Amino acid sequence: MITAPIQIWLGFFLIVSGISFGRMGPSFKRNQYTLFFVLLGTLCILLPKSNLYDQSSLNQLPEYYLMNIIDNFIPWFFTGFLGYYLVLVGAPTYWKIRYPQLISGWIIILSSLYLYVEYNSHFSVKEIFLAFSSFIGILISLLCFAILVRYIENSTPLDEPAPELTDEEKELVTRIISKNIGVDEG
Amino acid sequence: MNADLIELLYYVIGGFIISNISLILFQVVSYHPYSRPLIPILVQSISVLLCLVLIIELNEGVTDLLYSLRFGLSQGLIGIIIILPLFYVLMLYFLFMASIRSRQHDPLLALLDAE
Repeated sequence: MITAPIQIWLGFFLIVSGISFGRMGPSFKRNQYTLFFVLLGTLCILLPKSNLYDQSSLNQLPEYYLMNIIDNFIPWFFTGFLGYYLVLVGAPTYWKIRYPQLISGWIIILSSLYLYVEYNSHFSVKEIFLAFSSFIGILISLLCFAILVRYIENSTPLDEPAPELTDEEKELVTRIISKNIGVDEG
Repeated sequence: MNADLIELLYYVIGGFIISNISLILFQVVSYHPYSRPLIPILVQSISVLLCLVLIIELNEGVTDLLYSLRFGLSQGLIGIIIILPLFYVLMLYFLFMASIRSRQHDPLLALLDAE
């Protein structure tokens, strides 16, 4: 039987893996799995967890408080996420302004704020201050990672200069560019 | 040690662990022939392991590495979720500015419109 902690952390790992699959570049072929992994991970976290709340020793589980917070967090977060998406689609950033999406997006965002104020557990200033310190940990790890990547990049020898394109490759490049700029090859 | 100080330390360590675990996962699943993730993953794994040992030292209720990992990840995630509403409100400002911004005339986009 899958226990509740395994279900929660499997969901977390699936979400992080899914987001990582979305990376552009030489691994971009994997980004077709992003949505599937993120949805599967979210389902794992949201589906009922049989033995998290039933055990007599539930306070001993480190995930107990986390799941209480996630239960309060999910409704307003997903509502707000949908509102953000609609507003971004409707905003005149790249396209013409789309009023239906923009207005409905703002209405949904206001609903999410209402959900947060009405149903979310509220934290004291001390709790927020303490929680903010987790960002110090995140910043330290990101800084270490950046230093490590910089070290690896600097210590990697440069590749040999690439050989000149063959006639076949030149023809291929010409064909692709011609197709993209709409010029007849003939 | 002061209970608040220890709790603060748990959140810092939790943030460090959750960020490092996410970065390790990211490097593994986005591996490609040009990436060299071995040394970063090794250093990050060792630093996470040291943090887990530190949690075991600080918390009497935590006795093994797996429980320590779950405890650290939980603390990190709780910290992020508690703080998220502040960023949510901050983002609302940028979203509002994006909503009322009028797009400048762009000849290339005008060409697209003409089509």
